[in-house]
Amino acid sequence: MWTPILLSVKVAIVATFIAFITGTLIAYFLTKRSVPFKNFFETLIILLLILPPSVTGYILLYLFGKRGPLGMLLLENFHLQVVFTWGACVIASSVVALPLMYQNAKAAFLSVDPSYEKAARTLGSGEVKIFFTVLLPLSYPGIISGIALTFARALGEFGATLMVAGNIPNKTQTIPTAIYYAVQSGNSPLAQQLVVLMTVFSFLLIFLMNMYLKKKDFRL
Amino acid sequence: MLYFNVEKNIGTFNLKCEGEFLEGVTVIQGASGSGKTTFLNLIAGLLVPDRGEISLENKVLYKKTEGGKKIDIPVKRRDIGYVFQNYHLFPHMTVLDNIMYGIINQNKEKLGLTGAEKLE
Repeated sequence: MWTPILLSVKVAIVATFIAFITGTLIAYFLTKRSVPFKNFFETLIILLLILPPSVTGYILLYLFGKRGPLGMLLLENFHLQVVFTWGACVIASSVVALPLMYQNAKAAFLSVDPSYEKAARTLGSGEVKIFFTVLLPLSYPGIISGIALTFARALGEFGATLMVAGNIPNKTQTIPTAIYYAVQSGNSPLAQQLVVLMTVFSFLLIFLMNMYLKKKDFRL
Repeated sequence: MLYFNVEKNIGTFNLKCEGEFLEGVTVIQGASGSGKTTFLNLIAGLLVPDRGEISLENKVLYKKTEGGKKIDIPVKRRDIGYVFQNYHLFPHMTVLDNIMYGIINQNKEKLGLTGAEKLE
């Protein structure tokens, strides 16, 4: 029972980290800088949110498969095969969770009064410094809720993970796939334990985050 | 001396201003929506003019003419102080951090002061 839990937590932590960095940066460039084809990129990210995870999983399987463009690149240059490893779980989870991080970061950045950035600019700060000293601290509550939702989503990723990482016990079997196969093979007690664990953990994560953010919100 | 001759279009609003300010206090007055803030933002560099020239003490801050090379000194290197309409204290910083924010961007050695000394 513990192997899928530990793997799920490991995958969710790494995936959240990746989605946090990429989601926040993409949200920053799409909301605060002039980027060509803005609408195109935004649609692409939101698409990940509405596509069935099996579709996203299939696309990832094609891209990272042995004959896929990215899979071949990794295999030839780094002798890495990601499909059906825990790395594939990470890729699937971070891609599926990315829109949540992006949406939260975007809303958070847009909620910051642009005059703060203007004030910082007239006080002699460059864009990178403004990002770290003004924008990021002021959008902190939105970023934190983005991270929590991303983590919860990554922890519960099922469809895309199953497509690219399969369900190999002790190797790529995460909590959601373990639940599915426990039910399929008639092992109800295991399924129930994992279901309770997932539900309680996710509830606590969101509950505690809301409590923390209510205390922390310093905006006037 | 501040010299300016700039044009800026924002939607249907068209701002054209030309003139110079000599040393001392200058007051800009005009009806609401006549472009006072836009004009100040152009000088500070928070808005980019469509064309024209702005120079301060013979240093060109902005210049764009037909066929000429564009000059646009970034806001942080213009050395222009700006007090916003609703004065913007950073809500996530302490009073000291707010005071120090602009100061540490300048040459610390030139100032030779720590935050506490500056506060005193």
